[in-house]
Amino acid sequence: MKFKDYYEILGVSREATADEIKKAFKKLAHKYHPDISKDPDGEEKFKEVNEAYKTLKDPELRKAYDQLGRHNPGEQFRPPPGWEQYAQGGGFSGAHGGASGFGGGGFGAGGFEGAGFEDVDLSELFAQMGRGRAHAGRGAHQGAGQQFKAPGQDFEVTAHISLDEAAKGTMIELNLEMPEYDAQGRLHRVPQVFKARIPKGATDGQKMRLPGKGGKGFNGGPNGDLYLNIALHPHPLFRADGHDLFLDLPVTPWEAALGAEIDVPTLDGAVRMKISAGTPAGRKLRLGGRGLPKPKEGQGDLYVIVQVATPTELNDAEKALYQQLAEASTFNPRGHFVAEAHRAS
Amino acid sequence: MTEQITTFEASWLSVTEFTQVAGLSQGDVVELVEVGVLKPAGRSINDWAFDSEAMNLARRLRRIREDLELNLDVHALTLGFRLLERINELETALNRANIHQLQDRT
Repeated sequence: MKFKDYYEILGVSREATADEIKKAFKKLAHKYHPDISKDPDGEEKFKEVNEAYKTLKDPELRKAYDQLGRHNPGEQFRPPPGWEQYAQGGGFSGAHGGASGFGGGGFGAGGFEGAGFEDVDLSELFAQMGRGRAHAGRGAHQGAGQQFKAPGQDFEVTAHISLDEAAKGTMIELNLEMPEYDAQGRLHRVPQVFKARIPKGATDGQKMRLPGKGGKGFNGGPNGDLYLNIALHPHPLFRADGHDLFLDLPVTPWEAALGAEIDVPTLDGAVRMKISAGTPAGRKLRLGGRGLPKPKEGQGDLYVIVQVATPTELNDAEKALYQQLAEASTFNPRGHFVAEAHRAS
Repeated sequence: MTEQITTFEASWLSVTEFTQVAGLSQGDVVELVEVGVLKPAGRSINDWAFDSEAMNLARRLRRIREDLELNLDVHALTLGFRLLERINELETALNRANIHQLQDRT
């Protein structure tokens, strides 16, 4: 197990009062909470801060944490012998019912000893102790001997898919690690391969909920939910807005001026498109039904945005022709500047 | 190692599911609907169906409330929903503006 210095994370001394810990947490939470903060690393930082606070705000958990001694952050360490007894017995007198409610030994001796510690994270350990205590407390009110039900954890994962996969539908494989208890009540991370079919027509940013597919509930408590976020990989050519697609179409100045027939790529191959003479830059041309398919029926549209590309290097012949055009043309794209200047004076 | 195969579909939530996901009492949800900040489909409470947008807002607000240990009354919840909704709209508009804009290829 890797050590984390919860006091250092919150920026408080080891002797800090509960009030100081709470204050330090609130300050950092407002700074880093992913729904509030602009910090791109906010989510990671908040997780750390939250984990530290959840442990230190609870006097019993804080005592158990302090018993672990001081180590360097990131250092591999093992809780001192008898720690789990302390955690269970002494400090957690009230927790017995709750802990054993998790099926057998709760955090029983076997759970924390030896090999059991390596694949466990400090945060999971304390989160679990916290849950055990909370439910033990609740159970006491319901009467002794009752089993403590607790809902499983919700999970949220992001699935990155390509535009083509969104168009055709796809099968994704999620590799999740679900915390689960074995028959002895030991906490394990169980790798789970979760295959999910994404039907055609999924859009960027779409969120889907799979009820009951999250973490397992305890003692018949309901399972948590699994939330899936769809994120589309950026496509080199197309940009997606819902089911509509957008494509920049660079044309030459003479194609824009004289008109042209141009092959335009779509998701189902190129189509020939007519650009009429005198097409200005920025004109949006719609190719109906060439966007992403919608879940039930119908398709989005493909919008082609004309972009007039100008050569940056000219050979002598081109230069001469542009020169000739400049002399022959009466076109003045800035005519309105003059009119505006007159009006103002 | 277990393997499960599931199909994801856009989901609608009943009022019971929504209260669970949002971590709110049914009374609060009813008030939020009356105020107009939540707009489920369906006429009577038993027919109410909340779309995934409402679900996302509710989950986001719940996360803020729980993480920051805020105890919000319906008035403050309304404000929370409205502000989050506004942020969503602005972010969507910003994304859309980026999508519709000509890409700078220099």
